[in-house]
Amino acid sequence: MSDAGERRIRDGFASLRREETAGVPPLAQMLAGRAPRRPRWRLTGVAWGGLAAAAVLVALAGHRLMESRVHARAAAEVARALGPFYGEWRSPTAALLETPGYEMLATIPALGPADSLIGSGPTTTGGRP
Amino acid sequence: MDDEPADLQRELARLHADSYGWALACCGRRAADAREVLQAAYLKVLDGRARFGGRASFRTWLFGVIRRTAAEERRRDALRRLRLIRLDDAPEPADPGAGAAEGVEQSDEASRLVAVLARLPRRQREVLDLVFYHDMSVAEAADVMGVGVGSARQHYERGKARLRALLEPS
Repeated sequence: MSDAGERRIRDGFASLRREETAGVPPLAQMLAGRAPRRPRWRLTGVAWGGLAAAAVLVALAGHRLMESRVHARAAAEVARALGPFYGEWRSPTAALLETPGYEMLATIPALGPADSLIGSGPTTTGGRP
Repeated sequence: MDDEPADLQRELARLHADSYGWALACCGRRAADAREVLQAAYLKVLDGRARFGGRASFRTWLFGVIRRTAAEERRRDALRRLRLIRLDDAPEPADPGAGAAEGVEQSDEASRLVAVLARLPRRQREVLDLVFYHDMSVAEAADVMGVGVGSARQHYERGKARLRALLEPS
């Protein structure tokens, strides 16, 4: 910051301080009586209405939350009770997939022991029989 | 410092002019609001609702109490404007924009500074006031404002640059 800019700020504050210090109210006058002169405040009808509305909203939200928790708990109970049967469940249309030979698609063919595969392979006589 | 009421009153008397200046800064230079805030802060100190713990200097701590009291007052005024609370026997809250006119008579230089300060964000305004008006260090200002020194320094640098630009003669 330039000196001129800094000086301008300092001079401004010094001038403000000088003028405001001249108008300081006496301390004794401020402490006289010591009773807070501030008037008491109370909520208006608007504020009470707002608070009531907020309370209703909170109650509704709480009710919804409780309801959803009860539903979730009931669903968990049902799932736990039905748990063992879930593995046996079959789609009503599963029979349509049972085309001829579908068992072959569901099984892996066994190739037999490795020795039998090597024995039946081509001979090493230059490819001639 | 001892917490005896006599000691407290002596300290308050010693710092009274400074405290009033700071209360003015916290209240947008509205003299009536500053008096209310300062009186409320003094009452908090004297009846023990605010207790000096000795962690900072008494002045720094007292300025913090004044700042918090002014913030409470602002919140209350905001609620009044929204018509959420009603103050018994109180006039309608003053328009914050109509600030300085109600305060003490100001020279051109001072009133220009006040007008320019009003355009800065609150934190920048506060740190500049504490440093230039009250001759505090940035660390002391941070204590008053309840922020870290790094944060206060940033507000100080940005505020000073902005203030300088705004005060530049066109």
